[in-house]
Amino acid sequence: MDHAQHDDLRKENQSLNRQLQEYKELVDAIKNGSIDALAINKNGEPEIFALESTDYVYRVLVENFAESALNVTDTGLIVYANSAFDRLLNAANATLVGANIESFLDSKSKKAFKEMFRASFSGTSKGELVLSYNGKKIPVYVSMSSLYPRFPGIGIIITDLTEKKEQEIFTSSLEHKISERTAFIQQVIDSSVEAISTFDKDLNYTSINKTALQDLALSANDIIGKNVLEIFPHLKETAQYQSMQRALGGETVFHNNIISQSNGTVYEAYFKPLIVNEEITGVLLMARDITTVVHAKRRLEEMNRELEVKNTELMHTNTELASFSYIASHDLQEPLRKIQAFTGRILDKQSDEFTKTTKDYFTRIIAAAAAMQNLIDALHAYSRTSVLKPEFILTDLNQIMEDVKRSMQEMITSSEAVIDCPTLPTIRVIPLQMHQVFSNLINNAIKFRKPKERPYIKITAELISEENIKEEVALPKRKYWKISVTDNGIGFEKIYGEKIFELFQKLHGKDAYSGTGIGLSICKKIIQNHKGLINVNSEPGMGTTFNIYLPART
Amino acid sequence: MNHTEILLVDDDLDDQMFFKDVLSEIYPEIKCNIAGHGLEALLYLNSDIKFPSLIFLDLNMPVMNGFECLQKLKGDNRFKKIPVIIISTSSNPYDMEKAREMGAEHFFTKPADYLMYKENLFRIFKNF
Repeated sequence: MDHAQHDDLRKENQSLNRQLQEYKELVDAIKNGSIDALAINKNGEPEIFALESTDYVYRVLVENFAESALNVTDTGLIVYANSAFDRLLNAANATLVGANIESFLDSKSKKAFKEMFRASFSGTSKGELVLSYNGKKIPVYVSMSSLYPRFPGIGIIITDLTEKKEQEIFTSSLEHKISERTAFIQQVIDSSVEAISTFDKDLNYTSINKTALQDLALSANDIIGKNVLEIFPHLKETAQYQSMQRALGGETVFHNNIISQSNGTVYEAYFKPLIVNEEITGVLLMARDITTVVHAKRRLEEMNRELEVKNTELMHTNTELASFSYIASHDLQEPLRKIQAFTGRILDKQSDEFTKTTKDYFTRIIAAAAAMQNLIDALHAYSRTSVLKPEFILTDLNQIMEDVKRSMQEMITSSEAVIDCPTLPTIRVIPLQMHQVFSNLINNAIKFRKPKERPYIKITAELISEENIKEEVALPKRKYWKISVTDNGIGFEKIYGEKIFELFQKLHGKDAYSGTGIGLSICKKIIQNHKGLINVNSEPGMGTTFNIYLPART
Repeated sequence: MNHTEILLVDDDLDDQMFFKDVLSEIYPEIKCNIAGHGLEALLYLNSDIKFPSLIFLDLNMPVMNGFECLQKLKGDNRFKKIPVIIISTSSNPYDMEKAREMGAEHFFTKPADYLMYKENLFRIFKNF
């Protein structure tokens, strides 16, 4: 063997020995678990061989971490990634191991990563970064630790901050909403017409709204935190201050008439306990300016009193008027009766000595006196309907009608009038007054008959409900007896429908029909006394119907 | 019944005169004494005189009105048999009923008409 060959073999042997030594060391390293994987450069591409190691227990623990755990080489090549990292990026482990960690970083985080990574070589580094994978950005907290000298690389723990970030966003939006809401409530409270203030347990002001500030002409800074007695020393001896104490004791107290010492404004106010978690924490005061209401109320009361006085005056006047018309009509009769009596006597005794003219004049005087007598009689009867206070008696109206016919017998017979009257009801009336009404209506029907036509008077009665009375206001939900008196007389124009019930209204010339113009006024007044209604339907030449509505007992 | 003397109690001078005139027309022989009110009538009756056979009594009078006087007359044994005719301008049914209840024999509303007055008076003297 030549020398050169020997030398080559010796060199090769040395090299193989060195390699063997390396492999021995590697096997030792693998044996004691300080190596997880081997990265072998194969045609410029890294090839990774993961190794089962003796620290199996730690591996299982790491695999079950909620956080992602990685081992990377000093160039950033991932040699190990636990399953949490797969889940974080939603990728298969095989595609992650062997890749460079930089490829999973968001472009904006790359610079920060490099700094952290460099820093980690001399110990540890921490910070927030953003990962990016398949278009998904993931905020993370990264902590890096150097694994030297045991392993030439870096251990990385990655905590997913997605939830935390979402929480942060949610919290900040919640805070935003709360502050908006608070501003809104503050605005509502400030715009309230009520002056609102709150106090703590020691009755120091804790809040106050704009209305209250305006009323006090103070700024919030002057007030908040200060004791109510410091602001209003005079309150100490007042009922309001006591009410605040009572509110602290859990009572709600209402004052309806607090008068401001400074400007005379009138308030009504509630003092309420402020309760938080079933514990009284202070007092809520809500006060409302009711000055205008109070003034209006006072004015209304004054007006009511004035009205009452006027009403009393009116009642007096009415009573006086009624008694006056009674006395007047009564006393007027006296001299008139004497005029009639004396003139009558003169006419009877001495008319033979009279000239024709004197006799005519005397006759006219007596006729005029008789006409006046009629007027006074009727006026007397009219005033009597209001002066007397007769009793209401359950009365058979048929009986009244019989009495009326009997008392008018002469008129009915001479006019050959026919009165068609069915059975009438028995109701509570003032008998004499109802007699008067029927008597007046039948008298009218006969009086205003058509010449050369036999008067025909039809009376009807029916029970109706109030809704069927259109013309006038009737008591609601009452039944009424409608009694109608219809004739075939001369009738009159519709426009007089209301007028004929007025005092002294006469539709016909004196010569044609006698009368005082009081009869129907009496009827109306009597029906009013009965809380009833009377109206009339008529047409010239077509007859007249008077309708009486009397309340039926319910 | 024959009447020789009657009593009219009325405060109105016109009415007194008219009554006397009409009475003298129909019964000129009857003497008509006059009292101006109830008390005067009682005083007259209590004096030593011949009792009237009829008393015409107005209601509305001063001092003592017709009702008070009627009560006294009907409450006195000496006078209660003398028929009392109320002669009034009132035709108030309430007054009429009251007078009747108190014992008045008749109620005569003074008519305005002279002839009717005369006729009514004539009839009253016929009946009492």
